[in-house]
Amino acid sequence: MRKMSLVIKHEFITSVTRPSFWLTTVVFPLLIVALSIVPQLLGNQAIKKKSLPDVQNMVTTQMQSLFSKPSGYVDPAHIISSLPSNLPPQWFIRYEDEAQAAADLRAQKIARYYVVAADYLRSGSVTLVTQHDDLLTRTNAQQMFTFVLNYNLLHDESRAVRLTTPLPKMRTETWGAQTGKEVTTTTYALTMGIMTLFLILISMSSGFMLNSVSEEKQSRVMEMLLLRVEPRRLMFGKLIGLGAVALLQLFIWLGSVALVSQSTLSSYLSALDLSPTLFAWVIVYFVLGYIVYATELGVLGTMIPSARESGGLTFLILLPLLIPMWLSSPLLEAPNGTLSLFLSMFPLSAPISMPTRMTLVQVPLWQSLLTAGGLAVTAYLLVLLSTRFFRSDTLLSQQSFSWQRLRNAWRNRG
Amino acid sequence: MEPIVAVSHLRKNFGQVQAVSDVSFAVYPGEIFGLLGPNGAGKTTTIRMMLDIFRPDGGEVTIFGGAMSEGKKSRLGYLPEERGLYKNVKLEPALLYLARLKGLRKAEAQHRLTQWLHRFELFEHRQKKIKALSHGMQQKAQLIAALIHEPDLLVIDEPFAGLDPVNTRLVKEIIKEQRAAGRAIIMSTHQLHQVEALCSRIALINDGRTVLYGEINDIKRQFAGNAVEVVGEGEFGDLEGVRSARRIDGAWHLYLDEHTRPRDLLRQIAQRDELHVQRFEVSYPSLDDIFISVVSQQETAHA
Repeated sequence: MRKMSLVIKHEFITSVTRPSFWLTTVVFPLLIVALSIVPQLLGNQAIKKKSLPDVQNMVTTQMQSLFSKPSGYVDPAHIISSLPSNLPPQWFIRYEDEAQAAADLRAQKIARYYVVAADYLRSGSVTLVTQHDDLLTRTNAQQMFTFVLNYNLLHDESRAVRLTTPLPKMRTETWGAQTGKEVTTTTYALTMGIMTLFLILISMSSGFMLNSVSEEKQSRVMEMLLLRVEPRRLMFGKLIGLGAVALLQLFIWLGSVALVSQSTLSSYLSALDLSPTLFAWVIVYFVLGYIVYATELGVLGTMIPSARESGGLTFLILLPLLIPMWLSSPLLEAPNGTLSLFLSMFPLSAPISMPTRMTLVQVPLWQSLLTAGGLAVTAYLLVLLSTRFFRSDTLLSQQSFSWQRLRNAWRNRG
Repeated sequence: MEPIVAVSHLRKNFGQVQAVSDVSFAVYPGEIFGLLGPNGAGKTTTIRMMLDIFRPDGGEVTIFGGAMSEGKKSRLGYLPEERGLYKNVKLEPALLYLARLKGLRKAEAQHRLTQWLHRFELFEHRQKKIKALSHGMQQKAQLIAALIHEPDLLVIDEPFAGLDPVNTRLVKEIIKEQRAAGRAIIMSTHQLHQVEALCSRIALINDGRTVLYGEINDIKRQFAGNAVEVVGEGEFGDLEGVRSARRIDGAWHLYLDEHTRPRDLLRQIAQRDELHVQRFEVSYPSLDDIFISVVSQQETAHA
């Protein structure tokens, strides 16, 4: 036990005194925050500055750039008598004839102009004239002008907004689940951010184990260690010591999330259920997920001469963690659907899927417990089986990985 | 006297490859024992079985009077052939960690480490990362790791590799000190002149078997041809019973026929007044000669 505690201490101190540990611990959360939250924040603040609360759902960040220059319109059908009150008047310039609009477009005074057909009420025809055409700009320009036309046809701003975007939010209530939650763009971005954080955290912390084992093999210090500590104790010591490093990293990251929730970003995080209970479950799933993947990668470390040879095999081992990322859309759109339920309860994908699902819906307690139980059993079995690989002959071998060697080690043969 | 370690008919296979087929020897307290053999002979595998790193497929290892246990491992010091330390860790914490894993308390480990670092002139480098140290410094650091817990059995594989003459002399001194302190040392090396200088007994392993085992002098005697070396004045080549004679560096190397023994020759020389002898000795082959002779014979036999 004393030797194991020495290994735990050594692994912990060696890892946390490396500059690379602090670099990744600090840089990754900042990167994720930057990628998922900041664009939302900047976009929404820009809209607020223009005082357009009523059309906030419609006027997106892209729309802001769309009207960096005004648009013109020619309206021989006399449909447009006024602009919606909350739309900046400088966004649209009225032209009496198309030649004048064309001259201003050529002079780059306007970005585009619309020509409403004289028989618009019958034909619904509008021509958009622009110097540069791309799908996104065209779609946004069409949506904005639709809003202007709707307003003038209905003479009611709210109805015009609804007609233009009739279903901006959809609340889903599923029988059997306690609550549903709206999946807005903010929620989506935040959830993806949290998934990415978890993926990075679990794969990185499990990777510590692979690096630690393969480093001791590559530097050939392993033979000296084997005369000092049993392979099994060495493995447990590494698992616990590096687990403590991973927990430290998790606490730093969770602490950052908690700090952010106190700051100006709190309104964005409030879209998610970040309760203390959730934090507790996150720690449980993280620890169990860490044990599962660190054990698997530790076994890989015993079977290869250096971490450089681990590339494809590491990907194969971490694949179950990547699947929820690839299937994030159905997971987010239907957090209580069959696919979400499977991914969040299957032990190898649960460490990422379950915490993600928990941020979106209130998961029944029996599901949380069952998943944690399944993950704990998987972790226990993997640790038990990994002792077959943590043996002197595999730890001292400098041979490359082969399935034959893996099979032999599995069968407990040298 | 009871041996510190005794291996008996050790056998080990790796898959279809037989690494060790029959190795036996015993090592006693206060002796330096040479474990010799060509590359791939099975020395390292034998050492690993002896130290319980590998489990033998057959045979027996008795260490400190019984089977290996975790407690006994703290009484072993080992400098493996495949050297290595934590490249990205500083020298002092790396050696402290290895010392503490051998059961030393922190204060004791620190005290002994400071002494050893001074002795090996590494004290100034103790806060450097190991990868920043020279090959020779790393070699000395590993010797410290093998010695710091004052083991009763020290196994050193190629202890002089990578060392300059000054450090080679230092390591030899330390090995002799360990012997004087009553510890047993097993030294595996290809530098046979060092074996002749330090060891009292050897085992030569070839092709996974012990092919020579015993006192160095006995083995030399066993391999000595019917030859003498004479230094003196006069013509020694025409003595009766001398089959051939050569002069090398002022000494006569006389090869005798099968009916003549060295003492017959000495008697003849004593009866001839024109011959004056300063030195007369039976000529023994060097360990190098014996090593090459045994290994070549076996290779020829296999061929």
